[in-house]
Amino acid sequence: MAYVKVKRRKLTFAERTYVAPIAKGMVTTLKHMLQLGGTERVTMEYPEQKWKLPDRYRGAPVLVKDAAGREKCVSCSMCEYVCPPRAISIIPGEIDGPVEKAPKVFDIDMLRCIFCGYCEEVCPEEAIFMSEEYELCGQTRAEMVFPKDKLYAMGEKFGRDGRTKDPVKKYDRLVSEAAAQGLDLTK
Amino acid sequence: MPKLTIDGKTMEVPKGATVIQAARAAGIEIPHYCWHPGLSVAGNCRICLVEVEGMPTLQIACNLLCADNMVVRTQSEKAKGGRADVMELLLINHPLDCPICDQAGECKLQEYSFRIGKDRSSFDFPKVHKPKHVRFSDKVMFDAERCILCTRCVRFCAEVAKRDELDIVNRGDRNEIAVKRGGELENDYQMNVIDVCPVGALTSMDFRFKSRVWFLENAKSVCSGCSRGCNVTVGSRWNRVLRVIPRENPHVNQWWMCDAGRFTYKGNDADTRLGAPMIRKNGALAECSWDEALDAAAKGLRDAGADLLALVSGRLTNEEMWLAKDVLAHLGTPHRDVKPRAFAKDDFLRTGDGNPNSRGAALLGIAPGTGGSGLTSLGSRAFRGAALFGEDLDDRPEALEALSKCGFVLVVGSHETETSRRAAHVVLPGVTPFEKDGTYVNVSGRVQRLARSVIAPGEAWPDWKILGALRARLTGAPAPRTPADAFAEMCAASPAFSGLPWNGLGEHGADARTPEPAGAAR
Amino acid sequence: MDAVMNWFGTPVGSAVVKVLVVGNVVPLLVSFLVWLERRVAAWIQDRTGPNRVGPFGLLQSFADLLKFIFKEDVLPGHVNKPMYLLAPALAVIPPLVALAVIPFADRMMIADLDTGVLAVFAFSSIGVYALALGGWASNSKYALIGGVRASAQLISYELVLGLAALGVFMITGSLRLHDVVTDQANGLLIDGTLRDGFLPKFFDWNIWKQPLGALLFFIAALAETNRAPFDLPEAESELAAGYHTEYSSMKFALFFLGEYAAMVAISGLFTTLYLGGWTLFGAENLFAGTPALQTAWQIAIFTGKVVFLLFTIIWIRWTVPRFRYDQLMDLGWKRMLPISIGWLVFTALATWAYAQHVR
Repeated sequence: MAYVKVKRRKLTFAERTYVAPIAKGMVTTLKHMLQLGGTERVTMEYPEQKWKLPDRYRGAPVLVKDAAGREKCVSCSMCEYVCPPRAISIIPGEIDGPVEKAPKVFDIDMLRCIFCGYCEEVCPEEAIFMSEEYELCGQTRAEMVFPKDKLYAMGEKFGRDGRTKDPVKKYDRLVSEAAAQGLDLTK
Repeated sequence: MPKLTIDGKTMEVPKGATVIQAARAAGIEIPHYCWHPGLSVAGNCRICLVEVEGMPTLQIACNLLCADNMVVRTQSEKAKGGRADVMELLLINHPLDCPICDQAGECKLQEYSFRIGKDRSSFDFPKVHKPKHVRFSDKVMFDAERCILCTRCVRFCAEVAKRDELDIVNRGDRNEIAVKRGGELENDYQMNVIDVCPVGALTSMDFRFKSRVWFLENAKSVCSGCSRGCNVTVGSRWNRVLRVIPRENPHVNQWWMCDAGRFTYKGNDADTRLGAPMIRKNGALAECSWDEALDAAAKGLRDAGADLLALVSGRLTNEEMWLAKDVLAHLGTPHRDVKPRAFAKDDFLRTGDGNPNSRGAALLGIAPGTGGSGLTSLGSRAFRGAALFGEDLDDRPEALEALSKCGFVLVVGSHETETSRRAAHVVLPGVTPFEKDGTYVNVSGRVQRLARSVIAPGEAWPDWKILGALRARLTGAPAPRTPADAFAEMCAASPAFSGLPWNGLGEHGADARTPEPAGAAR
Repeated sequence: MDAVMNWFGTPVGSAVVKVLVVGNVVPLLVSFLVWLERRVAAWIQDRTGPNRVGPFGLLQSFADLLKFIFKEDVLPGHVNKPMYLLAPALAVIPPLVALAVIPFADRMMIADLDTGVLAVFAFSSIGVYALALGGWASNSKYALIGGVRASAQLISYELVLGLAALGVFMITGSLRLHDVVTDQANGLLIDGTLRDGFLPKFFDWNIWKQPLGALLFFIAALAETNRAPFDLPEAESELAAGYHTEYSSMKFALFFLGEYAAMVAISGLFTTLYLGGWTLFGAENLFAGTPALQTAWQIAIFTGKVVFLLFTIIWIRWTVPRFRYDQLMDLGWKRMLPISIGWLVFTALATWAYAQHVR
């Protein structure tokens, strides 16, 4: 059976005048127009109404601080390395205390970011998270390169619901262990 | 000559060779921390365990002499299990702060842990903590927690640097490395301990936290600090040189280099770098186009003719020297010289000659010709013109004074100097040894490749390109398009280099053809 | 001052005022129409439509106009410039001129021509030049196909339009549109007496006397104004934008304006011919005491009927899919033309028989 012969129904005279079917169609569209018969408006009035985001939504990457307000990021540059579009650029810097290292510059170019979440996945310090922020806009390209301060401010907003895991920087444990052994690592 | 079998490969090795050396020669890598080809055998890290037929226990390959009919297995389950256990032991007190550690990416502990170690520790107790960030000197930082006590650094200081400055102090699990008598590291080769350290215990203060090593673009080059020509790997990022570390070359520097050589890159990003050619107009230097500047330079050189004093820097490559010599030969001037440059001298690597290519200059005959006078005659004799190729006279005020009285002074250089400011009529921006390809001849006559690692700022041209363009304007000879062209031209015309292949110089270089000319060694 | 007022009383003066009023009201109506089109389309598709600019988004069209004004006026290099520039103007002028003879209140029309509806047809048939010229002068394949389609379609359906309308004039016995309107407001002559109650006046509308004619006229009107299901000249899914593909900025806006003004004009004509124009079963004389109010009231009645028709046209557009071109030609020449001729013959006979009876 190479082909099927389709049998078409013979149209009645009323149908062939077009008038009746068109009238029927117009009744249908009128119902939708007046929201009758179970039809309803499906448009979301965006700036006023917003999506409920799923838990695993990947918005803009943000930086978070630990419960004591310290930078969790130690600028290990793993995110910079793993970032497929090279949106992240880090210049590490030296700080006092047991951690020694924190980013001097931590820029994410949101125009480059593809929101893949690799940075969150690779981060050994749980310092970077994909937030729920998706309203990113700016007037210039330079404006869309988010500096460290802005990323921390966004992280502050994001972290309130307790979704940032490991709220205490893991070096606290090392410092207390060392203190028990009579060694002060905080110097 | 013992004959043994390693992993099914039968080989004959010289008497006295250890298993790890034999395996290495056969291309079989046995993991090692404390063993270093350039240091004595310590045998304390135990990671090089191999199984030897007929021996009841696993043996360390670094301290096991090869014997006839020995059968060694490096990949047997027993050997692998033993090494995995050693890895676990070494990591018992390791802080695992790789995200912070500068060694990450070139750390043997990371590599072996990943390749042969276990993915978890069976050790439940708190780790032993030791001091972190201890300054051994203003060049070397020490982290006792990361140290695996392999004593490579201790042995390096004692055996290679010949200054027995480091030792292990305290006992048991409190063992740590310390500078003897609580002082600082003082020897001039101390930064090699950073390179020999297989883990992140010893790190460079200079390179500290500048960049992760996996972002570095590495160029295999030659140190331009002195005439030894130590082989180096230049690591750069963001078009900036970030570190210089030694590269193994058994003919020149083995595995080492001096600290001063590592800092030769420091001036590379200076504000005084020249970015555009300049011509002196109404007493002041003004930027201009390359064509304009090269035309002015060629005219000045032609006018000075045989009465031109040329100073060719000992930092120029052979190709550049050869092009310069060609230009001078065309002008007919016998007045050419190389300015000597002092450098520290010892009986290990440092030669005392700060010109990395003074041997090349000697081979190419960059010295006052018949009836010619050199640098010392400046001041006592008036020249119609002077050309300084990659050179300055900032350290010789009298000579500079005399130079500024010359009718025409051409300065080719990478940085703005007092010489270019005061005396130059035409300034052509050249590049530093980090920004060009070429060859140097070291003190023992080895021709070695210099490799470009970064791009010069602004409109600066590599010196070979400048000299090629000048020569083209003066003689009409075609300008070489690459340093390899210039090298080929030089090899064809100069017996010292005849037949040397540009690409065949390889990573370790090749010896120059001519026997050492008398008086060339300094 | 009096001189000025007197001048307004003269035929020329009052015509100028009417022209100014109509010339400004129609574009205003068009802007409302565009908004209505988009809102109705959205409602039918369960969407919201433009609701941001002004109350209910009513000012959307003005925002669009602003955009059109500030857009770059692109003049493609490959076009025939005089014709290309002439086309948008030709698109706007005929429907506006056609509106001149349509009475929008008692004795309120710009020109009370004896030829009446013939003038309307004459002017509106000029509109085809705009489409054909625009399509041809653009020197682009889509535009050319659009233009060719437009000319064939408009000529075909003009025939049906005229034939369908002829029935009305047979009944009325006049081509003056004012007469057509007043003729529908008399009430029916039943059993020799003139009944002028609500129902007789309602059924005096020509739509009841000429049902098939009205339907034919309406369908032909849709085709004449390039409205769906007969929007083949612009057929955006086939021809990019049809004859105005190469137009941008205000030139495009003029085409747009012309198209919607044509809708207004044809709706006005339909209202006049079949729906009793500005009359409303005697209610049009509600404010007989105050002439100004009376006129405004009648204009409102007329406008209401027109807006209802416009709404219906829009409603049809978002209900019925586009015809194929062969179907369009088939419908025009092989169905509607014979039917309208047949209806004309029937009307003629019926009118003659009625006249015999009344006598």
